[in-house]
Amino acid sequence: MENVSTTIPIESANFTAYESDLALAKADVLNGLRNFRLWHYIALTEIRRRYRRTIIGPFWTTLSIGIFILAMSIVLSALWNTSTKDFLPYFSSGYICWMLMSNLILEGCYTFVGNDHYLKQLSLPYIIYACMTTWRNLMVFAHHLVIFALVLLYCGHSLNFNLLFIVPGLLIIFFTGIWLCLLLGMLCARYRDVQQIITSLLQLAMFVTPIMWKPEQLGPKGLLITKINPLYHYLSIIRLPLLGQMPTIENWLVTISLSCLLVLFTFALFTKKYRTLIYWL
Amino acid sequence: MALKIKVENLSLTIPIISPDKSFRHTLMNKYIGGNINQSKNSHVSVTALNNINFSLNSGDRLALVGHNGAGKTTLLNVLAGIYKPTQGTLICNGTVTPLFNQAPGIDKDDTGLDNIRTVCMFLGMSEAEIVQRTPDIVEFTELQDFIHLPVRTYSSGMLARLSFAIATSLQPDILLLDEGISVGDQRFGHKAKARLDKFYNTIDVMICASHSEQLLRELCNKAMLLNHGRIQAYGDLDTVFAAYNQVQEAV
Repeated sequence: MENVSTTIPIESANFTAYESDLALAKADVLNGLRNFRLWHYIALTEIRRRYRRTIIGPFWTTLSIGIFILAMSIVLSALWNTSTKDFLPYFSSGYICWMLMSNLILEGCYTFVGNDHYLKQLSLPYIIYACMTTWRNLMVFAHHLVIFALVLLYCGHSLNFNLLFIVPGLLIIFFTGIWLCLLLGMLCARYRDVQQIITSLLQLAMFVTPIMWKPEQLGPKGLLITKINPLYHYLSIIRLPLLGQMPTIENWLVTISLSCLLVLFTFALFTKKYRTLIYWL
Repeated sequence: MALKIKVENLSLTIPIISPDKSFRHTLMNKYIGGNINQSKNSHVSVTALNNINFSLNSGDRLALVGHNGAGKTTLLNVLAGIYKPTQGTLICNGTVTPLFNQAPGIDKDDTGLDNIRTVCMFLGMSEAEIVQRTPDIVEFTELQDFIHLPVRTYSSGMLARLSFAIATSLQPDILLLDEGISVGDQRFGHKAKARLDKFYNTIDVMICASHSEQLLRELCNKAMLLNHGRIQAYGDLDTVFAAYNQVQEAV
């Protein structure tokens, strides 16, 4: 935008004057991320609202995922010729982590479109809506871990110290999720078609990512798929610790560098479109 | 007198995105030359505010008048920070609270108490402030035990009382109002009036857009007439309303 003058707020202005696009975007991100209290509250309220007047609440999704995992494990372990007890931990951990990622992508599309009534009434930092979506999905993920705990009990597997590696894994997923939601939220607000494309691509992605099958089963071709599929690396940094393994250095390098690229690209786009975003809704 | 709001050469252009200018067109424009390309650079946009200049000091109560589409609500949206100006400068010195819809974030399935908390959170209150003001809000609504029930069980009068009580519990420096604050049912009117007056008195600067001359004369001490996004008249109420009525008669 042309001719935007820079001004300095007088005294201690809570509400600042208009500055460059970059300064606006930066202030938005910093103020938004800092406001944990608000996005935690909205995320929690939304979970509460979604399952109001149900007896087991968010565990309804957990239950349906649990049944799906059980049924598919029986079928797939027969198909792959392995015992269910071997296959269950692998499949359940993969599927739960996949649900987290795919829900983040799907709901990321609604970051702005789904919150337009707030956006048009309040001038909260835009990134708050992305934090809220990501945080809500992480909390739902925590509920689903119950399934995995039950699976471990049933199969007699035990956890080990590698489980601690899930902490950096979830941190990476959390920060990537915020920026992904911001990016997808912007794209879907501007081009309403994007959401449809993503929905159909995600269905495909579930089958080309090793969730139900192991990469070794495909031979050399499988290894190639896992190398070039970024979702596999994101999946690995949270799934492998659950299975008692340490994610590979490659997993971390790929996810961290991809996330950095995502942040840079999203922040550039966010800065460029900061003033126009509201008119897309 | 402390300067609270300063607006200089402010203009706002709103781009219009029509559904047919969606993804398909963007893609098409890349690959198909000729006729579709023509529309590529002719973005439709509306100049909603044009070269607005004014400043407000402590104690000012500004009335925004004008026809539908004159830019009243748009100006409020810019002052609230919802729309970012395309050109010019805006300085707001203090917390700005927009009350366009009386209570942002009210959910019919939440209880009255939950809703009080949600609205207060959205309006930026701290935990201590929420704890401190909730009893006052609850007491004023006279909802008693109903406050623990979901809002969908409330009558419309009860709901109006709740959002009124929340709105008037705020202590903003700069208040932005679209069509004032409605009081709710008649019986309640007297009590509400007293609370409303007290509320208005604590506010440093208020900007109110309305079509009602009576309301604006009651609340404001300054006025601005907008027409097609420009300031047509600015000053005391009598002058501006005279200009406004003249414009209306001409139409």
